[in-house]
Amino acid sequence: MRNVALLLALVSAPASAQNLDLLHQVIDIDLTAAPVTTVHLVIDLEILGPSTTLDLLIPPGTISELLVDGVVTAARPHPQGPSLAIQVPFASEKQAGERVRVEMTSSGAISCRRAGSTECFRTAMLTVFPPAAPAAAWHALNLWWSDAFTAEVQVRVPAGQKVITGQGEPRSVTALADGTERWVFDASTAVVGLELVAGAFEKIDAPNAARASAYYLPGAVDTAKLAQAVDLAASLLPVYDRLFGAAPIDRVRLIAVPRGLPFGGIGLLGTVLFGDYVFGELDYLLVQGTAHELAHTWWGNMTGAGDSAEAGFFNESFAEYSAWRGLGELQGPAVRTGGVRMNAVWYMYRRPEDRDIAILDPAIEDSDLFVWVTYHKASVALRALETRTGTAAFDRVLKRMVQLGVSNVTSDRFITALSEESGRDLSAEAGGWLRGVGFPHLTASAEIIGSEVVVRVSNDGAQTMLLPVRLTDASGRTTEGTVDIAAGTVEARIAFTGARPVLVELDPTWTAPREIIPEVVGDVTFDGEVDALDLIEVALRHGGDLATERRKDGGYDPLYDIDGDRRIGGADLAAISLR
Amino acid sequence: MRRLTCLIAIATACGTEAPPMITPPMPSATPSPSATPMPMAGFTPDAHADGMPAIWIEAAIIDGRVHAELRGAHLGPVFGLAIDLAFDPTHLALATATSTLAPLGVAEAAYVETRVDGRVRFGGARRGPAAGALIIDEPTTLARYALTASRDAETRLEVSQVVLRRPDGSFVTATRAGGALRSVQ
Repeated sequence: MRNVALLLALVSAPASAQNLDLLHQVIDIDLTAAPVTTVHLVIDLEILGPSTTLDLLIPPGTISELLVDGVVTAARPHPQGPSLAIQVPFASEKQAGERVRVEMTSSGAISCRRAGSTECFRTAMLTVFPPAAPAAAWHALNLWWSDAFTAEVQVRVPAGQKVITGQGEPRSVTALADGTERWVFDASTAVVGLELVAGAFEKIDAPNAARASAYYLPGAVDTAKLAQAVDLAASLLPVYDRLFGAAPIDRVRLIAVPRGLPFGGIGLLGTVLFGDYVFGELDYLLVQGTAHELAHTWWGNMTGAGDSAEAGFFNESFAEYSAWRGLGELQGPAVRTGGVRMNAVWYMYRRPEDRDIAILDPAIEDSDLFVWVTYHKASVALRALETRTGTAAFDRVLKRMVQLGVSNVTSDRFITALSEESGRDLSAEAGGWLRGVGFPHLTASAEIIGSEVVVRVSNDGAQTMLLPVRLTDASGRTTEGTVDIAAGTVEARIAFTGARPVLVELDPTWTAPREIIPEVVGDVTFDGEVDALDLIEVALRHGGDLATERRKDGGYDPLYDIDGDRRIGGADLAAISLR
Repeated sequence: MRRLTCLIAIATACGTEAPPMITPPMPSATPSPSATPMPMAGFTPDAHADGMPAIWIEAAIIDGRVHAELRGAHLGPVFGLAIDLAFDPTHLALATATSTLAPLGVAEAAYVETRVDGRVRFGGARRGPAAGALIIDEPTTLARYALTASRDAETRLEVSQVVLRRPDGSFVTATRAGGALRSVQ
């Protein structure tokens, strides 16, 4: 699911009147009088350059009080998005370095339905506010860049409701004389968005004091599936901590919210909101979704792109890459291979009308190809870059990106880090993946000469890559090698010791979006013959097909789809065996 | 390269072994100590390991034609196999009509045979992981070949390569045993 940073592009015109930094917010929200929601915000901000307004998403209901540095003022519709945003005018133009406090109270019934979409839930029994949806902007959010802030969140709810917001457990819960409760939370790590959920939620904790919990409404989900997600999140957290740097969270909180919101899941700092169908009929999303959304703790919350055109890449592509990286570490490399392959083939073969756009094309954010390119291609392109740099070097790059923090990551910094950590200039290769369209189509053959396997590969794509090669002899002993894929035809000699290889595999763990085509049709082992060795390889993949639903892994690998019908089946076996 | 998989369709076995059609390894007539030594036609098999995955050759010469069987035992659950029978093409040639079996089942498996000079590679695979494996532990004939031999040839039949795979794709090592062949015509 696209993360909060992409919501920032609601108003697409360039900034003009606002150049400021949200520092801290005190958010006081009253949920005791549904359908009315009352929000009192105290926003402290620092002026970065000449500014005349604070631009905000429209708050709930009607604004009853608005003060700028204690002086009453009135909001006006934002000229570039009057149905989405307001402008809070300053009495005079503010200059860099000045501090401003804005206090705003708004109250009224919230319509969570907007433009045919459900953006929040607000009833007497349930409140679900994702990060500052236009109809329910319960906290301030910088519309112009990924601007992290700290916060204190005070929530008043009817007794019996549980509140999940801020970062961590509530600082206090106080029973009030009128039978309501006041929950107070801190968000002491600066983030660009917060969630607020309140209702009669039940809770599941991961076993063995592991650092994960899940919240759900009784009867709404399959709790066994929810427990599975909690266990997975608890296991992934230390993996991600090690890979990307420790997250400033006490534990992971998964929250199953009613379906209908325009996302399957949304990941914040340590907290994930899931549509309840993830723990129901769409449970094939559970593993990937948990891993992906939890990764947003780092990609989109602890760090993120300043340029909204790159936000998708640094949020979604990195989260998806991280998901399969983490799952591979937990569940074995085959799981990672399956996930990366699923992403690669969805991009390669399921794009509408085979259209394409570059990962970092400035128009990607508004492109209908965003999903195919940003989630599916780009996450695998990162895998290709990992192969090129080596995993250790790539991990250093990842940590460097996280350490840059919110809004400071750029593609240039990323590419520079790749080059520095790998010790070679990777600007052309990374640029080919990130700024070029398409993917390599590799035509390959192999030949045993003496104690070497000579692999020849022709590349008609614009991207270059390091292509892993695995040789296996009849005892199962393997020899690893690589082919440095450039434009045109390249050749690599891979020495083996002992018995002759009986199987040559090119990129067997799917490290890139790529199509590998044998020189001889059906020769999936690349030895120049179509024989029993090829038959076995195809049979091992029998039943694989190109999924028609996104994120479903059909086990499809085009290499073994001899007849090109997007299914590995009897016809492909026949294509070999009936020759 | 020729591929004679179509012949598999007439295979007699459905996962069980067909009755042997050939005689035990020669020599079947031990020369009398008093008789004049004569050149003896026959196949002398190499020893093969017992109790371990093994592929070996049994062969006999009948009516001047070499009838060879590739046999296997203790192979365990087999998903796919590929076996190379190698011979000296200056002394031996595959007969045009060679019958092979379907040791991994008929409907549940697919087969292919390929030939190059001095080598025939026969193999098969179950039709996908869902088909599971077929356990081959008892001695089983996996393939059957007829070869024509030149006169007075002393040569060898070898199992030059065996690839044995489990349903998870893992490889299993099998010992290989060929044998010496002497033809007199």
